[in-house]
Amino acid sequence: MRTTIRLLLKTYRFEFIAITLACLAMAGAELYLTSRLDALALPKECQFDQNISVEQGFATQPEEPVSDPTLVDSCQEKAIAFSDSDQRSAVLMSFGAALPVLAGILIGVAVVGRELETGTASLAWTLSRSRRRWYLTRALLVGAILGGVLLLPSFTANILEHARQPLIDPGSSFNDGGIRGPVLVMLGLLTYSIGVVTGAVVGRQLPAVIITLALALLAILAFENGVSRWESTLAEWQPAASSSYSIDIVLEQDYRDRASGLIVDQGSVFNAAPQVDGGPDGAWIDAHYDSVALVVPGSRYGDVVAVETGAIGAALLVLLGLGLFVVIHRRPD
Amino acid sequence: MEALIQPSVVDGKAALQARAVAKRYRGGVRALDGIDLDIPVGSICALVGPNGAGKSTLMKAWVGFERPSSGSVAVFGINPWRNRPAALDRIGYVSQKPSLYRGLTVADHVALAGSLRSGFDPGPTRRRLDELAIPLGQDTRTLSGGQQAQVMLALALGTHAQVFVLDEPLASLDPLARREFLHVLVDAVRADGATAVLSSHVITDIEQACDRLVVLGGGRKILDVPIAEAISSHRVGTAEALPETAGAQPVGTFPGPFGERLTLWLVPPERADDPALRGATLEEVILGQLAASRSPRTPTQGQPS
Ligand SMILES: Nc1ncnc2c1ncn2[C@@H]1O[C@H](COP(=O)(O)OP(=O)(O)OP(=O)(O)O)[C@@H](O)[C@H]1O
Ligand SMILES: [Mg+2]
Repeated sequence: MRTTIRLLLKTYRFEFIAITLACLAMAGAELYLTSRLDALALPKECQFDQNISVEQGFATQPEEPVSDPTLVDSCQEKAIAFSDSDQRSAVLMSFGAALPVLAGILIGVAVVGRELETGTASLAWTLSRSRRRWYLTRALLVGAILGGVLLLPSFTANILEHARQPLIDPGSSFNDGGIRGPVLVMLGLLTYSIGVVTGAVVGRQLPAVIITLALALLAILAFENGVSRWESTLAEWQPAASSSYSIDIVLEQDYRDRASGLIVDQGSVFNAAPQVDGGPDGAWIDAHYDSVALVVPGSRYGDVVAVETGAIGAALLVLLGLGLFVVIHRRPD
Repeated sequence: MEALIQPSVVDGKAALQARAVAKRYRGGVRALDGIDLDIPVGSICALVGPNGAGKSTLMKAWVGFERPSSGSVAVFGINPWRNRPAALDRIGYVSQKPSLYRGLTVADHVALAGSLRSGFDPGPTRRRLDELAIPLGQDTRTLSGGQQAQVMLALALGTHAQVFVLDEPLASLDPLARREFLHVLVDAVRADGATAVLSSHVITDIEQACDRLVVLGGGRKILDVPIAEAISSHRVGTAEALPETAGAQPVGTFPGPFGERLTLWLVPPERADDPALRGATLEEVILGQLAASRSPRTPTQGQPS
């Protein structure tokens, strides 16, 4: 097994070096921005409201008059610097989301596709009695190494997320939930296995790269679609004030009729309310209705990640099996 | 005529078999068209024929790379398409195209073979590479074409396979390397009681090493005889040299080295020393047979199956 691993690493050394360097660079950049954000984090006296994030802190004016009038100005200045780094972090994290996908394609199409393209499949498939063993060994080992390398940027993305929202635990927040943590690794592995199957079917690397890219985008879109449908089943009604766009998934904002307890949409409430100054009377609405939101609370983030990981894991097994079928049945050139 | 040319199936057992094998590729190319063939255990068989005759296709069918459109192939009685592991266990195959891993050294390939095939013996491989002074540490990408072919052949030797299926193993070797390789192959086959079938366009060398000749043309089997018999039963002369009634039959007419027209004759033993004809070389036997297969007239001689 040690020989197999050594030879696989050597065979794919350019891919592995490129991916590792990209992951290290990404992790390094994320850690750098983390340290910037940590240094710029608003001091205690600027955090006027503990329940809201620093970004929102910047937009929020103090409710009570602040003793030192210069404090607001200096807080705004600091918040601007913070927000600048925060925006760069957002850009970096989107690149970070593309990284596993690109890495998965790069190495996925090589696992079988390159063997077919260069004719080495014919050597390996006659030396080895079993194509199944040959395929599973390499597909699993390369996948495991890829997953291991991708763990690093997925982890630093979480750290950066925490620095961007210092008052929020990234483990119970949906903010940037799909582009950090284990989901990132799983998306990389999903793309990888699509690349493996496409490479095995097409037998040429370059066309396989293009096809895999298209298929991976479709798969990710379908996956996101499925996830958000499923997430909506977890949603519950909460007082609107206790939900936050930067933590929870807010699906709907409506009113609850205090008398009947029924949920009423905003339009109906505005129509029912007496008009004051050409608009609905806020005081009347507050007297009769509670503002509520249908949310998937951030505390469910861990559950969602677990289900996403499981779903992608199942898809990986199916794709791996599909690749095996192709490898067993195709000719080696 | 049939009696002249008989396949000699040693022990009645064939290492490689083909029964009515036809292969039609997508696009309609008929690569094999009803091949019946037995490669007896212990023989070293040369498979010759023009480009596109179907030699590689037949070999790929034996290693389970191509599935016959109809008919069946067998390796020691095992259908390689149904039971590929068992068939591959018995085969050492070298493909026509060199197929080494770019970026791996020669030594890496030996290690790879060891990890892929249980029972792979690096000894003969290393010895062969050593004889050829191919450095184990060299990246195979930088080896010459002939050296790459040598590495592939050396790897095949390490499999101690029961049957070697070698697709044009001599094509890119220099003349000395060809001779040497054939000696090594013969030794390996004799030592292990193995069998070998090799396709080749280089006739002169196979004459010494091989004991059997199979000629394919246009996907059909044209000739299948022991080499000694192929040579002894044929003679060469001009087309007019013998009247057909004399018991000899013209097989095919082909150009000689100086542009003259030569005819291959199939002669019964009693006419073997006819002064109008001279002994045929193996190359002339093949040329005559190929010419016959190409001409509209069907070959006159029997075709054992
Ligand atoms: N994968 C394929 N798809 C379509 N046609 C093919 C394929 N492989 C081979 N052929 C065709 O089948 C015929 C036999 O090919 P094959 O490679 O078996 O010939 P060969 O006898 O090995 O020739 P050569 O001496 O040139 O190696 C040729 O006409 C070839 O074009
Ligand atoms: Mg060929």
